[in-house]
Amino acid sequence: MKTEKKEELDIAGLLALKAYERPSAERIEKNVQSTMQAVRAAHARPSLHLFPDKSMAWMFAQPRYGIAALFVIFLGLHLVRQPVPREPVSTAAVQEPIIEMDIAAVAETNVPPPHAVPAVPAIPTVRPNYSPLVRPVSFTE
Amino acid sequence: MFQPLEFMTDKPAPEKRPEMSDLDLIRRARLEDTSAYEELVRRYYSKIYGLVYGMVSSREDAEDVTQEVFVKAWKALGHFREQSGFYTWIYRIAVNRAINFRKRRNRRRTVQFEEFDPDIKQAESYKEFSSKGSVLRKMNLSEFQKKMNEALMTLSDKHRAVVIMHDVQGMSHAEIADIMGCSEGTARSRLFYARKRLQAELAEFES
Repeated sequence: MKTEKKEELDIAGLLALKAYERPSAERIEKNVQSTMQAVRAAHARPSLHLFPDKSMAWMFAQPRYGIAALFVIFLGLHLVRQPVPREPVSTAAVQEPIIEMDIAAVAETNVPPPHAVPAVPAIPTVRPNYSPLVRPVSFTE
Repeated sequence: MFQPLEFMTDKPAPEKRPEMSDLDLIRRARLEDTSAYEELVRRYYSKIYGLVYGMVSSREDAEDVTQEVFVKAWKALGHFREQSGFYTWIYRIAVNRAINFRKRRNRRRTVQFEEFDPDIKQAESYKEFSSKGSVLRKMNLSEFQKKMNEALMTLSDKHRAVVIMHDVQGMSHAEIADIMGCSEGTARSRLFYARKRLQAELAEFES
């Protein structure tokens, strides 16, 4: 009976051929230059001391973590924000604001403080001239 | 007495300085000497690129990841401990970066293979495999490349890294174990398993 035995592939030998899958010398030189350009750029860029040796690339590489981080930042900012004091809404008619005065000071001196009252322009007064209407009269009239 | 200045004498020009060791270059690079670091990049670019390319199976992705590896290493030079070699250290960074890249790009596979070096025709293994009845006789080189890369992609990241470092880059089990942070036995068993798996994937090419 004839038995056919399959010869096993020389995987190691075949894999050795992969070593010939390599870039040309020109492309290596070009890549080395661009790598050194990136290294010099990284050298010149000041790093954030809060996160040493970390870049923000992960945020874009792992979008779910980026979105989660943005949400946490948003939540934090929302909580930290100072509450704005609000007056209760009134139904009363809107009134003109009254300039406040130190009543006690006015009562004592009877002179309102200059800063409390806005400067009011002097009202021009017209004094009537009664002279043509006035004539001397005697007691006999 | 008059001493002639150096440039006035007929002394030969000083010879090019001897090649500096990795450690000397790292010490200089730590003092923010980018030219020393450039020397290190030139030394290891091809090796690191080869590993990353084997891991991601795409030329453009491999270029991007290799660049990331060297930038990361530059930033982390302060953390480099001189007990281990630069070679081991940068390989570790490269393996981790390539694995992370694969996780990120799991859903979006862009495969653009590197071209074979024309020198492959002179390689003994190529002559052997392209002989009558052998694998490369049955298909052309680009077809073989596609099948081989597809088969490699079926392996887990750790198995692929071991197989690339051992069978493509010719590293020893001890070096691989050091880089992968595992025992030599684990490195061996990973290699064995990976080869078996590739054998099954490429069974159609058995003679």
